[in-house]
Amino acid sequence: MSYKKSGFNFRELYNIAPRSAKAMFIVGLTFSLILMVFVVVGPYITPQDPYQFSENTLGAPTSKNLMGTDNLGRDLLSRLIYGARYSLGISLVAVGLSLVIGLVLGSASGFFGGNLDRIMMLFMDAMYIFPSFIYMLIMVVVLGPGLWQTALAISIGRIPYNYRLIRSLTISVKERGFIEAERVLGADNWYIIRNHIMPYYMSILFVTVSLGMASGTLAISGLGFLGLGIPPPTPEWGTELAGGRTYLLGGAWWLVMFPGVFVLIAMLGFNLLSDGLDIILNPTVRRLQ
Amino acid sequence: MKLRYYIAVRLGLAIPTMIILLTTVFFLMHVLPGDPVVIMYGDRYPTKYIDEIRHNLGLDRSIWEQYGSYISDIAKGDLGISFVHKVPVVQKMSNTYACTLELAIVGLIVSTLLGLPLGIIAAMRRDGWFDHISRLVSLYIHSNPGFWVALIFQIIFGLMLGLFPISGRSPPDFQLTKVTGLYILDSILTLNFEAFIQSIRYLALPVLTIAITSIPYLSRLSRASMINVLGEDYMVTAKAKGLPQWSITYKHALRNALLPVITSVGGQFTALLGGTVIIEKIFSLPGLGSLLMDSLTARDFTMIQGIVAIYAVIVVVMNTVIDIVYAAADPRVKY
Repeated sequence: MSYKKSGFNFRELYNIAPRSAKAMFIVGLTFSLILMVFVVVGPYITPQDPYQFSENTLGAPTSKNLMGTDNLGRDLLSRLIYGARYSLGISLVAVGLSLVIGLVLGSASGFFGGNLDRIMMLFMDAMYIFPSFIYMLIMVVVLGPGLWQTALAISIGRIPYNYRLIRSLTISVKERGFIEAERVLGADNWYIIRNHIMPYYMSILFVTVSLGMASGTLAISGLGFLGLGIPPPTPEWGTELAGGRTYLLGGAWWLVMFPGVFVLIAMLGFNLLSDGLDIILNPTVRRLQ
Repeated sequence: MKLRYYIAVRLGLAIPTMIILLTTVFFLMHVLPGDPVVIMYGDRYPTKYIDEIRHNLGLDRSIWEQYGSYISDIAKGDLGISFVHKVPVVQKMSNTYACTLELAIVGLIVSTLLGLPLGIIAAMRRDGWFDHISRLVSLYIHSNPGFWVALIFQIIFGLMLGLFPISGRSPPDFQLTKVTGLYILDSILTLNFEAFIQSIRYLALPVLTIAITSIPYLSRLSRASMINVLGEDYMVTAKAKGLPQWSITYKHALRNALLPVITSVGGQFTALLGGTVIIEKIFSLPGLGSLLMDSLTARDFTMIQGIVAIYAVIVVVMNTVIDIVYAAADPRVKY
């Protein structure tokens, strides 16, 4: 067996992956990147001002308003592009937050073990079996409306999942024979971390982040749909969809259709990305896929 | 250890889980801004009167005293009095919990009955056309937000085709003797055929929405589990012994493939229960989720605590049952 300089070589893993996984990865990455562009430069590339009222209220899609206009005559496409900043931006913050907290608690719990581990595990297990969406609803009300509050509420719903993942990763890395073997061969800690522990963590963390983005986006739009997310007039996708529902029976289908399509594309993008990455980064999983 | 002891240990573990969940929500509620007494009676009354009410409700005690009496009250089955409705929380909830429970359980059964065979077939015909198509379709369906699916179903099946009712739990002239509160079960128990058909019609779209969001997960999981089992050495042994194909597939493979699926059903139930909040809102179902939403808007502290307690009981019971079923089904499980 030959040793590579770096333990984490994405190009090499990508080259040996099956075609379907490559396709999923590329399509998912494209979708996610386009949406991320919206998050970063969204306000500068909207065709019209997302907050500008006009005479054309509840206008059907035309060449001027590609996705129609809402009850105040605002251009829906512009609002949805602008809204990516909220729907996805908050999700990104929430994923980062829950990952950091999960990393700290999970690795401490897995590494030290003992009573600390037992108590934390009991607590996290209790939270894990309770529906996280209900936690989020209560947290949002407790913390009050706002971008950071929503992000915090959503991250709390995801902490138990990340904690359990990181804990089991830490324990399995700790117990792996090859680490002991490397040490016997004279490898220092840094070499082991770089070549064995990091690749092991990385491959799973990328997938977790991508999956977390999908579930975070779903949670934010769900909260928005229930009227507990980012309040109007901010064009968060779920809030938009809930607002458009009022005009559905009047025939304004585009107000429900397009916000839903945006959520769908985001979910599809992140799910494809995480599935593709999962197969590419974990060659051993391929037996199952 | 015998299964009996395992069950006892498992039931014992359910109690700390309940206490942790109840404690979390209790302290969360006490950071909530807003004075419950003012919420209940408005701010028209003089301070002296407000203080007296506060004293009668025990809200002037320290948070630890309140916590102690909260836990001991719950142990006695007393969830307190709703701040807004001014009736016991238990009474208010006795009409709603069954609606959510019925929705979640029927949803789980339907999605398991559909998701499991789909996954097994995909695994048996691995890399065939069925496998590829079902993977793409399930990935696509999995990416649809549940509330959007619900709205689309309402438009297509409710408004355009007129097949199913789009809101409520029963028609206005609905007659059914209450036994458990679960309409489907009650109508079977009382042999009320009319009510049986009606409750299924009203449950159809909400359950379909739940199933659509859960099937992809369950089918994917059972596919992976089945493929894993098909690669085991004992499958080769079974084939080498000359056993007929049906016996290999159904007796050796399927039974073992079901084990990991049983464990994941618990997690799926939890996720699905969270989703019922939105589904109840869209289909105007009078369940726990709708009650929770109203209580959150009205800052009804005792009600929120009570609802969380009921949700907690539901998930803890469900998970305990699933763990016991798993232990009974798999002799290799370490107690």
